[in-house]
Amino acid sequence: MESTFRQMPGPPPSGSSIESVIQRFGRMVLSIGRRAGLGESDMDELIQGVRLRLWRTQGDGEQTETVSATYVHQAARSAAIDIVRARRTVIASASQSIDDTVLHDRTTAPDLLIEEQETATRIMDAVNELAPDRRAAVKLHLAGYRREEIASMLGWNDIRTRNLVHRGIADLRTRLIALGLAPSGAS
Amino acid sequence: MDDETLRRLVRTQTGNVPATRDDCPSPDTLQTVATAPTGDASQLAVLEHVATCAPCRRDFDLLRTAHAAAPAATRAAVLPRWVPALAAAAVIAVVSLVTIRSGDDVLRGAPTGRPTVQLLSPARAESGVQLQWHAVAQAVVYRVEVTDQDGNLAFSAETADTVALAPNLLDASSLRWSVEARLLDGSVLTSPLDSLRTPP
Repeated sequence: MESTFRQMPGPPPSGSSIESVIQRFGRMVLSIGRRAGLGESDMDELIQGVRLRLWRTQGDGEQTETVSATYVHQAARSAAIDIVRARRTVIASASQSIDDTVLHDRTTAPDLLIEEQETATRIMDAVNELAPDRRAAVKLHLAGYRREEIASMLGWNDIRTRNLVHRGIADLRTRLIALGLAPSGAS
Repeated sequence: MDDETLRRLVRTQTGNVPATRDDCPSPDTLQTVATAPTGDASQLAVLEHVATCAPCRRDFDLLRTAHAAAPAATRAAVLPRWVPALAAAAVIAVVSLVTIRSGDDVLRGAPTGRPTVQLLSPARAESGVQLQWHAVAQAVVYRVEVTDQDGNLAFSAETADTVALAPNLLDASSLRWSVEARLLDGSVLTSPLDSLRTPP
């Protein structure tokens, strides 16, 4: 989907500074959001939310030089949390159970899928037995977050993060082998 | 079983949408964790949930994207005309300070308590450009960013240290860098933009 940020018409005559901020914010959202795996619709919604907030309060052109970093930050926080809150109110009609996944996945044999589900359950059980710091690091690592992202989220430095992910994964592998889930390509 | 296999298997457990969000952290809790990480036990629990709950992960990633994108959006775009001159003066002052204190262990930085992050001159390193700045009291994490003249991000990193290694970048003389310190109380201090030009 083409970004709303790029689809919006040109800047209003009196709001070029605001538009400049919005354009810049949009570029940053697209850059950071894509790396984070955000969908285009989520990013568009966020950019549009910030656009509306800035225009609503600053759009008369008289205060365009006073669009502070703090204000943009607050607008972004406010827009993002409003989107998240709105999602919570939507009836979970799109709920999808594991059984649904099994039934609708036509690319893998059902018995293999069920076997993988059981293996995944045992892996998660093993993960949950790790020490808290290692457990958090391993869960985030297996969720696909990069090491620097994990460090940032947990307020840890890079060395601590690397050690906890490394030791946590090693610990997990030991537990999986003990459970009879000996990996063919274990390292 | 390599990491990718583990990830794929774990995703079969965590990639589905739960029937209800009753057990999920509130939006406000997610925002706190996304914007003011402390690493304490309660935040660890929230992050563990985020890692294993697809809708919470989507929410969390949106919140942290908004948090990260906002500061960069305002740099250079809305600065009053006198700011570049002030920034230049600040750079001269910092360079002078570094020169005067050469020989001291200033590169690792002592806490200064000043209301901005003070940048030190970048230095050439074997595999890139080493960026250094003074430590800020109560900083939890620093985010260093290198941007081009249009504000496009060329490099970024987050670290708890006061040094980061940027890779060798094309046309480095036109690039600028800055550091944002996130403090324990959730507030953010940002340095002025500085040129990435390294001494010969």
